[in-house]
Amino acid sequence: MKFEIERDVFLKILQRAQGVVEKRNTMPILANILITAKRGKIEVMATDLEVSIKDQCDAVVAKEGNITINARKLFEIIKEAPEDKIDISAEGSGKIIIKSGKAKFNIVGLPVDEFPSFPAYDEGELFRIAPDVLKDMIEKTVFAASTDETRYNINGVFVEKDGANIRMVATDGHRLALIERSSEWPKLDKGVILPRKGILELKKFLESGEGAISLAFTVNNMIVKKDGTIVVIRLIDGEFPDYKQVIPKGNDKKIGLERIDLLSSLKRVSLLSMEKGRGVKFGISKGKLELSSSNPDVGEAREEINVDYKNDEMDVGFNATYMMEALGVIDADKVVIELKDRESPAILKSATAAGYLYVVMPMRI
Amino acid sequence: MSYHHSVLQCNKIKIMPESLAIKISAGEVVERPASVVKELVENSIDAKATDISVYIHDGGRKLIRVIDNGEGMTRDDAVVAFERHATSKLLKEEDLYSIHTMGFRGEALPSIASVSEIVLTTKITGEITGSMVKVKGGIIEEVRDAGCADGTTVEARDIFFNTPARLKFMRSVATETGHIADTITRLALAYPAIRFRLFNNGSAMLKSSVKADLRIRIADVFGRDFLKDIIPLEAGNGVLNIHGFIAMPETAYSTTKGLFIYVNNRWIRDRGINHAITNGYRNVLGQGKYPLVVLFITIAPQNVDVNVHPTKCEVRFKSPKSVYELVSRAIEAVLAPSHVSFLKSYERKVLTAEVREGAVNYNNASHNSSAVPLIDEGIEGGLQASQQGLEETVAYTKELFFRELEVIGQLWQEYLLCEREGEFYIIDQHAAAERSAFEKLKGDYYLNRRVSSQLLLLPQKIELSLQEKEAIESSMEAITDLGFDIEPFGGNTFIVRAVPEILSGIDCRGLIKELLDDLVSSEMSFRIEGRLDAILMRIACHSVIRGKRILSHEERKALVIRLSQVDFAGNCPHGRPVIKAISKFEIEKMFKRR
Repeated sequence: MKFEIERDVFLKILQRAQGVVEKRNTMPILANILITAKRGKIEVMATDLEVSIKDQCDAVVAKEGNITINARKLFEIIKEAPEDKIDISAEGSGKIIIKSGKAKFNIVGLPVDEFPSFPAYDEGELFRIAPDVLKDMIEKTVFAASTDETRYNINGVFVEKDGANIRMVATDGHRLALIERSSEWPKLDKGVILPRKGILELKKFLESGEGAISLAFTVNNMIVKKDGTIVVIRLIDGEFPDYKQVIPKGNDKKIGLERIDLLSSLKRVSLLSMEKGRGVKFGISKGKLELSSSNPDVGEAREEINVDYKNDEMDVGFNATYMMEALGVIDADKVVIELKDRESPAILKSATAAGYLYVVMPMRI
Repeated sequence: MSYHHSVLQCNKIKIMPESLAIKISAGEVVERPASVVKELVENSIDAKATDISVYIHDGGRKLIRVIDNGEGMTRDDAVVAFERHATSKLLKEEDLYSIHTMGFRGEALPSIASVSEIVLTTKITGEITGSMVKVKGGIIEEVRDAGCADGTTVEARDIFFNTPARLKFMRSVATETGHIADTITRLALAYPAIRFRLFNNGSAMLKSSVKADLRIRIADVFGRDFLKDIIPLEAGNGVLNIHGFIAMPETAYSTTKGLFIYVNNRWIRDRGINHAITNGYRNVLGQGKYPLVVLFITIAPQNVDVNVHPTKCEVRFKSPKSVYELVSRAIEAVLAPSHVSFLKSYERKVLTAEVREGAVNYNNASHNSSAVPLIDEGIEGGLQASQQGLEETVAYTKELFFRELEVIGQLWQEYLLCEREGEFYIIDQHAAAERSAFEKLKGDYYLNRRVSSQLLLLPQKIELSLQEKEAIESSMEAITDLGFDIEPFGGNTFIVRAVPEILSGIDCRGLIKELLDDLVSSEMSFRIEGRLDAILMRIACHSVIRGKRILSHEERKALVIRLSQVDFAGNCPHGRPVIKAISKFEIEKMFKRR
């Protein structure tokens, strides 16, 4: 194999592949990328078996063939290469030679046939979607997904189609975020769970410049295509909890308030919560919400904000982080908190727009 | 028809012949060659031998020969010894409750004889001739006079030759040899005054010193290097006493192989005591790590039942709780800062003899103080003035120690190098930061005595065994105090509705299971505290600097000073050391100046 390539072009696709390469290196081959040179193009592939990426770019191919090479070392070498032109060649013995100007590197690759094959998909199934809508939906849910690896079925975002609507749900067992949008969407027979890592990879993709994005789902994978790049994300094989059951109905104590007021006040008051607890007490009375926190070691904090509330007085505790994370993503000036009692789930949502719902469980402080 | 049937069935039951009964019970006593070694050596010990040699071939399958210089037996006794329940040690029922000898069931010799070929030669000191008895498969084949040395020699060949099932299940030669070596090690530790030798296929595996004490015996068995890392341990109230040696946490194993527990000088296995030991080490040793501990528990025979199992390696205490507390607290007290090696030499110079005496009183006081699970020495109320004085002294010397440490540099961005008074110290900066963060968190937690809990949006179901169910029902209060909210959900299913806030984000079901397992095995809730420590450690680990980082001179100094303010035993919460000292002597030796 032998090809010549522009440094900046090569660097760009190597950088993308880098993000996917398995960092923990459970299998040595997964620290490598697969480069295939064919008909005036090179194709770069990386995978951690959960997320796989395939990218391509133009190159002057003198001799077709393929190699695997350590992704990080190659990226670092190309980044520091002295000239714009990079020349890469390989012999049958697995020795790879990288030349740029007067610099020359000899690298040992791993056998090509050890590299996992790229998941199969049907190009015809790919369906163009609106990237902004998808990006927004991800941002408003993914933060609530669980990070506890033992609960793999909630380690991601649940996606399902409901008529003309697309719904995404994420939960960590303490809170739940749900968003619903009407949007064009590829065929999806039943709900699927997208893993966190895949979601974050997808988000990076959505953020990187203009260009149409197409999606498709197979039984095990979600396929994302943008320009010449294809990302395949393996779906989580599990049962997502019955989220509809935990969305409370009949929470009659409604508190209307300014989103920014609550967010900034929580930021201040939670400064004096316990180290990890971040527990903040919500004291609610007519027209008034008093937030307070105390830490016997440091002291206590208290702040009052004006709210729209006409019901009975009550006290309830919440994890301030859970509240702040949701308040940070709701795009509305006014929000509503709907409560039942101090032990039942509360709802946080926009006062005006429908389509986004955040359910959070109180804390006993 | 049915009448006939039942008559027929009745006739099926017969008393089995004695020879078969012995073979079956032999299975209980003689599990493997190592059990033969154990029984024979114990007999030698009971015969007041001071020198015991054991020879084995092929992992004991081919040959086990035990030679002692004990009292020996008359010919009549030697013959009777092969009859079942023949024992010189237990003659009436009351004796069973005050057992002082090793063997007592009268099962050992006949059991071994029933599954092998035995030649016993014995001579009573002072007699001119000895006797030889040869037994094969339980049948006496030959009895005659023999010339031999004082004492008894028992040679067992071809063990399990007549029980093919047992033979088939024997492990490899190496495994069986290992078991025998373990057996001798256990006995050698229990009887330091007796000289033990073990020869495997003719070459010596173990040779212990003559008339040793426990310390020397530990060196015999584990190697001389261990001596500098072990700390003596002694505690008790007269009725229940413990003594022994415990190793610094650096010597840790991932199995319980380093735990040598003896009750009234008899080696035993006891999950409760293993637990008490790990609980004592919990702040200096990570989860799943076990230290090296040689622990002797002395307890009045009527307060312990050793006749639980034919191999006698399990016991039942009348009051497991008091044993647990004594062991756990004694270890914790010994590992407390004043005993830690890197400070030891320094404090020896500073602390007066009077203060040392105080330290002993302090330990005793904390043993008797209360039945409440110990919280933290630092905040346990009701300390007498003199003990507080001691604490201050210790704190003072520790602070002085760290203040006098001069930071001379940083190595590989990971270690701090310090010097003071002819000693060179290396501090692991991550471990140091982690340790001090942990102590801070722990202090906060116990000071507040308040557990916020997070209610669960998706309550988690947990399936429990019957034992676990009982445990959870009886300790519901303690569990609720910790911020859990667990409700029965019919059958053996329980629902977790809330978890301590500090645990959120970690799967609590495994933790609850482990907790209940501990409750079941140790019959007390000590470990809840231990688990919370583990959680606090995890938080501490994540809250501090990790990996390489260049620290400014001020940061370095501040980190070292922070160490002086925590109550720690020279290790990070995961059990890795925080600080290590290298003496000038060692460095000079490195460069051949000495």
